[in-house]
Amino acid sequence: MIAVLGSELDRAACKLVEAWSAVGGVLLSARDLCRRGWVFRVPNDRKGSFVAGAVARPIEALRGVVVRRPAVAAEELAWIAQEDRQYVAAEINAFLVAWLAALRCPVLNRPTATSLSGPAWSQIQWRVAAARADVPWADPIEADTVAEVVFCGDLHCGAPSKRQVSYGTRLCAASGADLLGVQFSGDAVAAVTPQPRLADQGARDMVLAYLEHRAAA
Amino acid sequence: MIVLWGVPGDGPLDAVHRCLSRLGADVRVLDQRDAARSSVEVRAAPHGLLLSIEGPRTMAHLEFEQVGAAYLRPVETEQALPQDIAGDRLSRLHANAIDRAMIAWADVTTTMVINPPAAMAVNNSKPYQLRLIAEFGFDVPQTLVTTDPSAVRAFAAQHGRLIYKSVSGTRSIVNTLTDTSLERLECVENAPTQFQEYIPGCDVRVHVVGTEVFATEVRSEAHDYRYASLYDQDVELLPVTIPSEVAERCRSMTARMGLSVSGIDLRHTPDDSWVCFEVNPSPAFVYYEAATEQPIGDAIARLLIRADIEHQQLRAGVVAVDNIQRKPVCA
Repeated sequence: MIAVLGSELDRAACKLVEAWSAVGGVLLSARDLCRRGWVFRVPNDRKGSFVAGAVARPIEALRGVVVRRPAVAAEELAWIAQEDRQYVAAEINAFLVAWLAALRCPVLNRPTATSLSGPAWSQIQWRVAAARADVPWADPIEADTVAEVVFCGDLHCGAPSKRQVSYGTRLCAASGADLLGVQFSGDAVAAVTPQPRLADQGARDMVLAYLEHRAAA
Repeated sequence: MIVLWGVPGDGPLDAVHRCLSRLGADVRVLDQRDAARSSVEVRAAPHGLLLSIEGPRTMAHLEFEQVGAAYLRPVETEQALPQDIAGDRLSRLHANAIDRAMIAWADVTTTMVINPPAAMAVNNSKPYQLRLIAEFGFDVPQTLVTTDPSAVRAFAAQHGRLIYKSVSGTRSIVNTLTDTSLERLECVENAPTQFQEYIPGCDVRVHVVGTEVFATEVRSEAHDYRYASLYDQDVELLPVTIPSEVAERCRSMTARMGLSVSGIDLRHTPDDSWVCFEVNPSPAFVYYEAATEQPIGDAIARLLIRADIEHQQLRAGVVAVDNIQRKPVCA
């Protein structure tokens, strides 16, 4: 089973689940966090369980997670009393950081303390990371020449040049994120996201191959 | 130059400010209340962000290349803004942009920051931090986070007395699970809720400042001594010496968490083990300092001054090298 942690309103997340239905793709929504069935123990999380698609499942069934959101927003929790939504959102996010970090299956991306999916860096922080890794940044951007390359572990998708592969790999290493969407203007980086849309079949197949390979290992 | 960022009137911020002033440091306070009336310029460079802030007060122009150390005690942007502008959306957005620029700078700068926001954020998820604490060699309480009432009953059957508290840092007051609260157990379905085995023993708060360690024994009958007055309970604080190996573990854990200063909550159990509950990355040390006279604020000030001196020496060296390289080469 591959869980996609995202919102029902996120079309990219729903498309991922649909594309991976044959391998047990399931959406893990904010609503699932407020259903009976979650069991998570610290320091040793053995025999835990989670809820996805409104069904409680053993943690051993999980072969991978793709995280499509940096946080759960209070505004999403329409079934929680208004005055408690901020608090419940903070509790859910704090729980998800711990749960995602402890999972033994591959997670794209592992959370940091400030985001459910990799580093919560602004573009200017990515620019500093790029400068430190000797990666050129496009400034200004020529909008009609921007193309996105998706990097996943050692894999990449989007017909990049050798330089683009080198730069994307360096940004993955600098940020500790296994999955990155890097927009290039020529060979210079124009923008980076730890939550690429994975809109085309090639990118989805690459991510699935990565998850299955890592789960088997 | 040393920068203090927060809202004057905050105990730890004021205490560090007083100590720095007494020690003759070059110190500036970046008052968070001014954020809506300030302007910021940010540029990226390999050594960090080049940040420049222009504020409304005298001496409020800050070039962050000159900053050699910073002490951060920020509050939420909305809480910091004065009443007359807090309701204005544009002012809030503007202030929020200034605060985010400060946080971004603090996370990428190579100068000493007490403490970097990304390292502090670990404390926002108690079970996440607890797992890290266990990896650093401390005993931690057995913990369950669940939306399943039957899992809580099984956990209680296994461990006996339980406490419950927030998973995040919000509304984080420790309570004991009683028969009355068991009646409300079905409510855990609404959101993941954290339960822990009760650990008997004596509370010890350890403040780590660089390599210095200040341990304070806390004597109280309250479940959560921080809120003892709410339950008409007394608290007595006494300076103590902890075993050197425990002190060393506290130092090492603090450094490996990317922190220069921490407030570590330990409990010394009757069977002589040391259980760690939490590492507070922005400790309100003045409460302990006032009762014990342990010079915690002074230690923080000295740590900041040392870092600032090193930074200025490094800058002077770089400038000197830079000047040499710029000299015209004569044939």
